[in-house]
Amino acid sequence: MARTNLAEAPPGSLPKSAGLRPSRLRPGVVAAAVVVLLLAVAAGLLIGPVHLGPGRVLASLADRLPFVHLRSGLSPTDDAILWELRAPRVVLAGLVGATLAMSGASYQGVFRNPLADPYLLGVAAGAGLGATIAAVYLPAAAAGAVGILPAAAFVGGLVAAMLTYVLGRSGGPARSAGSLILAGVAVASLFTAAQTFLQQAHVQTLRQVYSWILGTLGTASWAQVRLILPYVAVSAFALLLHRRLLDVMGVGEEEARALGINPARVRATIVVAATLGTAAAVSVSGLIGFVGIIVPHTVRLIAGTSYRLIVPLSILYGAAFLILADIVARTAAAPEEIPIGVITALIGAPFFLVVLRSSSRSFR
Amino acid sequence: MSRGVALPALLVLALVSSACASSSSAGSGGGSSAASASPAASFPVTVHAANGNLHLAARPTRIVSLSPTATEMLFAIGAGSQVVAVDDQSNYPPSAPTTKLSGYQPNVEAIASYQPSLVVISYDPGSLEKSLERIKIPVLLQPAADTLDDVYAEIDQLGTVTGQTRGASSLVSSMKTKIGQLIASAPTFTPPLTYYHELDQTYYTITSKTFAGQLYAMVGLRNIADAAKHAASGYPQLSGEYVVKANPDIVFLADTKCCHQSAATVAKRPGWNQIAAVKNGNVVGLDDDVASRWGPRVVDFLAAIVAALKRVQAQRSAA
Amino acid sequence: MNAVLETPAGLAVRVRGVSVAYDGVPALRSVDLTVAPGGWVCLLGANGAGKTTLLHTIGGLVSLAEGDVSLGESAVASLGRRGVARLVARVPQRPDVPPAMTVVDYVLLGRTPHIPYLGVEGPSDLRAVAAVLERLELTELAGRRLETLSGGELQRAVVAVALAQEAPVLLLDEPTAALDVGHQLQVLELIDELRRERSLTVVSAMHDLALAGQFADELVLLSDGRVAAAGSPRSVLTQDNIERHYGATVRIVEDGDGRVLVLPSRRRSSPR
Repeated sequence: MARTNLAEAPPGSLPKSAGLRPSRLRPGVVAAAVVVLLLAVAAGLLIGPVHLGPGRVLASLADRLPFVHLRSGLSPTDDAILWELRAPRVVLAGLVGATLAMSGASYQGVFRNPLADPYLLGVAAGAGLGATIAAVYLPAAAAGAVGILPAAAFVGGLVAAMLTYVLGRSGGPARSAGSLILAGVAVASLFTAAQTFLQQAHVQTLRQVYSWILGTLGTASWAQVRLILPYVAVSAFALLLHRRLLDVMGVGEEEARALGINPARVRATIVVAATLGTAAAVSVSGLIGFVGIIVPHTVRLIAGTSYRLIVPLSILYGAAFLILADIVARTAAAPEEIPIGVITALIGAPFFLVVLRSSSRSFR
Repeated sequence: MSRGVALPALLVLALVSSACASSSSAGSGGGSSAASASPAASFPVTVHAANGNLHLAARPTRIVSLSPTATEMLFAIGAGSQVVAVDDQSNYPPSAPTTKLSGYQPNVEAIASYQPSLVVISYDPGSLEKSLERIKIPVLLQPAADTLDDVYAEIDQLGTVTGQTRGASSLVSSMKTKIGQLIASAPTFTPPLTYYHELDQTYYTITSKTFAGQLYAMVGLRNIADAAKHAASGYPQLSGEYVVKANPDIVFLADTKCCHQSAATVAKRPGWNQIAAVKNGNVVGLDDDVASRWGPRVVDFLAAIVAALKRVQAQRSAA
Repeated sequence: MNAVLETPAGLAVRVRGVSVAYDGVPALRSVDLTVAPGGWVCLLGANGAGKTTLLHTIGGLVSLAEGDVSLGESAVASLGRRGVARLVARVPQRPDVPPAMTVVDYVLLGRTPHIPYLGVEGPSDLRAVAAVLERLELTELAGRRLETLSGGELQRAVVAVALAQEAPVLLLDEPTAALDVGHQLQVLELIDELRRERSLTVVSAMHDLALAGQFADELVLLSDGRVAAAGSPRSVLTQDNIERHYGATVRIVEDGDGRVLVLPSRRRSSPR
């Protein structure tokens, strides 16, 4: 037995022998993730169906800094493309990717289920129904660049999640995690059925929501970024604060209670925070799948299973992932767009196989 | 189809089809007496349709149309009085007897309740035809046209099966005449003008391979979406950047009804204020239906296109 | 030995007239139990007799139909969840172990009652964890994932979590169930050592009557939710008691050191 001399260790730290430290977010790991994100952003600004020239893009970027005046050599059209179309798209992709990834990670922690994704509680189905209702009954209002569609989708997502929560609690506190998931399946089926019914009855609205349902960032604008930023920020803040508690939830309800926390309340808080962020993201981007599973699992493979690492790293890598996926979506078949949900699915399906094969361990 | 070939071809077709018409009046104008000429002599009739041979023993007086385009054609050839029910999307002409029948999700029993002597469809979602055949209801499939010739052929076919052959041939020749006039009157530009035809606000568009695309090509317009080589379906989704960069001279909006787009909403899109069409006020709102059907109102569609060209010409000569 | 760890001196555990029912089915009927500070009481009884329920009751995890539970001076009902968690540590029967978690992270969970809700662990928490790991000889295994540990190592890790809580009352639910006889003795010896070092008050539930008799100061035999017998091992472990409440025939052997050993014995019955 190795006797370590505690008296010699500096106060506030465990002796530096390997493995004796609890999982902490080390600066090096964060820096690596930030670098990846910055590279993704740079790629997102430089690459696109329209060739802008890296030098000119960088000059234009520098010109935007205060006190810096540079002639970028971009024509007004190219400048508009860069700053009105591409830049907001990159930022939106980052926000949506970060939100979906951190929500997925949080749900996986709170439900102790490696396949939990941000749409587990019916948020996706609710948002789809909300969007369809807006398109059918308020079509004129839904037409603008930031029309009523995102708001309706947001409200729809929240309503579905609340309904799931209310139904799920009826299983009794002892079974609430399992009942929540089942309730989520039921609510999602119900809302999807309602949405399909409405779409069949009003075939002409199908066109308007079709793209949205597939998931798209093709109409990203700064207005949309401003719209969702507050919700995403609040959601991220709340989830980051709770990451230690996500680890505690890992031992199950009963033992978590014995350790002095209220698992039902922790779960409720995390679910509300994650749902808020997801509903906001979905309202502008439509239903982009797989991000909430691919990114947290990849982070686990890289950095370990403590949620104190997974939540913040999921935010950074989730943003980078979706930015990169969006680059592929708008460039691979240029000048055509590939729906981004297709790209994430193409990466997601083999990813699942890799996860299955490389680990016999389950992720909690 | 380039304009050089289209015009002579249309003239040849006009001659051929009028020679085949059984009625005596060749040439323009639907003779009002056409309907009264007894069509009984034309029946029984067999047509070679897209869904096989269709045999009708007698003139159908209870026609059900599940195709909005076929509805327009039927009424335009004078067979309106023979139509008892049309599907929920058939909104033209306004006098058409619209019902809740659906062309996408057809309910065979509901269709049968009208006791149709003929059902016209443009699309079989699966076994509709077989189901109707089993209960001995004749079905005529007239799928979406690929070319103007297909349009004329379908009109003639409807004329044959309804006994309105004179109405059909006069419609065809009037369409050909008008289209010919429109094409002749369309101004030419060097270099040719570019256009972008929008199906919805997420940049779904058409290529010049499609029916509508061919109409644009007939008056010399170049489609910015033709660079989309992989558009197998003819209906690619473009990236917003590309549309802005391609800078089309004219933008045609075929999503004014479904998605409430207009010149005003389009001008507000990020980056679109750089597009020539927007700067010069050449954003044209089309009626969604007119732009997507292949019936008699194709003439109106082409007229809108030509009007847009004339406006550009006026702008340029004023400048 | 470790001045670093500050465990309050033992608390008395008092259960008075407690009745508990699950969905209308009574699990405990008017149970009284008193454990002196620093004492070790072992609960015995057939499956379903109410041992686990009684442990949960002491831990404040079930609602009482009647009666009350107090730890030292405080009534459990008046303490919040965190308050109870600072006083009572549990070693559960079938711990739900997150397989991919490292030992040190797992043991750190034991500090949860002492860490602010949204806060992070502080230097005292890390010191407590280090001390516990050392005491249970887990320091070398600190970075290993829980799924890679052997049965005995895992059991030590689970005990480590409870010890890291620095609570004066320790509840053990079948602590030796999955262990071989060598590890069984090892764990129980360890508990005994720790309880003497820190004046822990220990309440355990065990099936193994022989071990229970050798380690606990007092035994309480539960039957159908009621206390059927309570007292010293010699007074509770009688052939009569066991036959009546377990439905098994046993032989009681007293060895020279005054220990009472219970040996299950087969009835001499029909020929094979």
